[in-house]
Amino acid sequence: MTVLLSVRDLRTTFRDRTGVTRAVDGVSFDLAEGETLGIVGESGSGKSVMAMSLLRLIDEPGRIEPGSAIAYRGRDLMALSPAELRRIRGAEIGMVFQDPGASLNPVLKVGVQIAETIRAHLPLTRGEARTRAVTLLGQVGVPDPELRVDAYPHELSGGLQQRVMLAIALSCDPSVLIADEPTTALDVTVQAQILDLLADVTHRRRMATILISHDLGVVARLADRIAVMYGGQLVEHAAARELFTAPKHPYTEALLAAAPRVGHAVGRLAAIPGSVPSAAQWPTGCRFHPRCRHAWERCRVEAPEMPHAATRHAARCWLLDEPARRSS
Amino acid sequence: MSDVPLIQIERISKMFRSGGGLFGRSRALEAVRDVSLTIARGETLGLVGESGSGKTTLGRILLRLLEPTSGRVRFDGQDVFALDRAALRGLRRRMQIVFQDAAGSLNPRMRVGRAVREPLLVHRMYRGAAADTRVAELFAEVGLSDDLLDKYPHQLSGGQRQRVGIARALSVRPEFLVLDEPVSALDVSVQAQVLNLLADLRERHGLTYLFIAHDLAVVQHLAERVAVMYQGRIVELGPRDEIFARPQHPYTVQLLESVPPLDPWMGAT
Repeated sequence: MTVLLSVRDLRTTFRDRTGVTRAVDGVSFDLAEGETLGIVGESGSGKSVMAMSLLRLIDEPGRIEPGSAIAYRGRDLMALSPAELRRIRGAEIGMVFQDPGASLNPVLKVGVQIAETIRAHLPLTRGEARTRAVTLLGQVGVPDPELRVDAYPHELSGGLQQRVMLAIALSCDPSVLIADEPTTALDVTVQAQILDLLADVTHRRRMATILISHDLGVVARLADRIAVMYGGQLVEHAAARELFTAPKHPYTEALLAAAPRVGHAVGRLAAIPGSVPSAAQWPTGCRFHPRCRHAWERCRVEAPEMPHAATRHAARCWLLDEPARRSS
Repeated sequence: MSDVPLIQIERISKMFRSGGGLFGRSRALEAVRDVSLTIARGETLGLVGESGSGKTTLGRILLRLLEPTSGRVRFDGQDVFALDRAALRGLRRRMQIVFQDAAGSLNPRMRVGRAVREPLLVHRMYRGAAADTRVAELFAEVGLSDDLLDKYPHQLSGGQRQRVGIARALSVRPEFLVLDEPVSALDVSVQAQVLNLLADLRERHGLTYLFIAHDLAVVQHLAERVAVMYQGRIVELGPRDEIFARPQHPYTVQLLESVPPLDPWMGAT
């Protein structure tokens, strides 16, 4: 399988008077053609900054550190000019964000917003772009697309707004779609529709997708592979099924145990003690050690490395060296 | 203890007028339509619905934070909307609310220790050193270390702030708590801590809960009975296990099927 997007040692930092915040701290992964990679993490894990970094959408005082490598079809995105980057964004790599209401322009008809994106990348007339916008709205399941093309965002429900965002992201046939919490602001019944739509569209177009979510269930629904993010780093990645059935990292394990499941009552939930650490001051050694029930001295002082990005099932944990330490 | 349910909701409806402005025609929105429910003493009723279903409005009406358009709420047999000011103050102590967004419901300029102490003073329950002792006791009870007493809300994590919200609600020894999406803003790993805490507190103090949430899996952990709300109406009500195993109303079925299973490979739905 061809690797479309290759990320190596991505580091994104934010600097202010109080010091350096290492929001993303050495992330590496590959995204192959047609594949859906799920990235799971809690708030503060760095997953959204990571997504923005992939398209170099990081503004001052944030910066992607030298040494970070992002390659799209072998082209080094870190070396591109702003104009070249704009051609990649939208045309090659599309994005969908959590809050469609905030991403759409409230005073422009949705059809105009879709057409704008199309015309920024393709040599089409206004009329042709509009026709294409109607077709796209139909493809993302907006009912009566010839009418909705003239609607303003506030006239549409949250679910329809997110369909419009998806239409914009798909408008120039990108090969990669980055979806950051695309269903988090939606009700669960609408979320199910949007997930079905995403699965259908990405499959039909053989699009590679990065799906970012705090919700393991959402990621499990779509992803072929899943990476778990904690403390600005990936701590585990594996084929989706394997991650759920045979997790290697104690954080993944604990996250699976802590999540309440429909139909699986009840009694006490296996809570993870403590709280998510802050990027301003990551714990020493393994970043999960203060909350890990297996942690020993080595975990407090020595930071485990993530095995190479191409490893089939990788985890950043000393237990892999010393499995006898795993307490039951 | 009497056999009378602690909470009796009788045919509550609530209409909001919306729109209008200067020249527009106003529309009536029926947020709650003819809802009747009871909650027994010591019971946890889960109220599940999506945004706009009316679940939050109903919770506010129970606490007399909103007036219904019609219908009646009885708390321990007393008609909540027929009470005079003195009786209402007594009632307010007995029923409290925990909000989704503890950050938004705490005064950002008040140290959290004082925020927990405040209701004690309002209800003239403790003064001076006795109030300090009570606050320390409450912090311990909800699992907050007492070096957090002098912090401001923004210096705490989301989970810690929610614990402060719970301590504040508990401070006046209520019998009934409306929990309005109490864990929705929290990360999964912290959600479980707070759900376990709510279960412990219920047991220790014999509390009665109305647990409002959009998330079925979360409600399931605490509720003995579940009411499903859709477009202002209760469309299904029953024991938790019945609702989850044999949902009757098509909307409940749809709601249950919409939740992406955590692990589709083990058939865990």
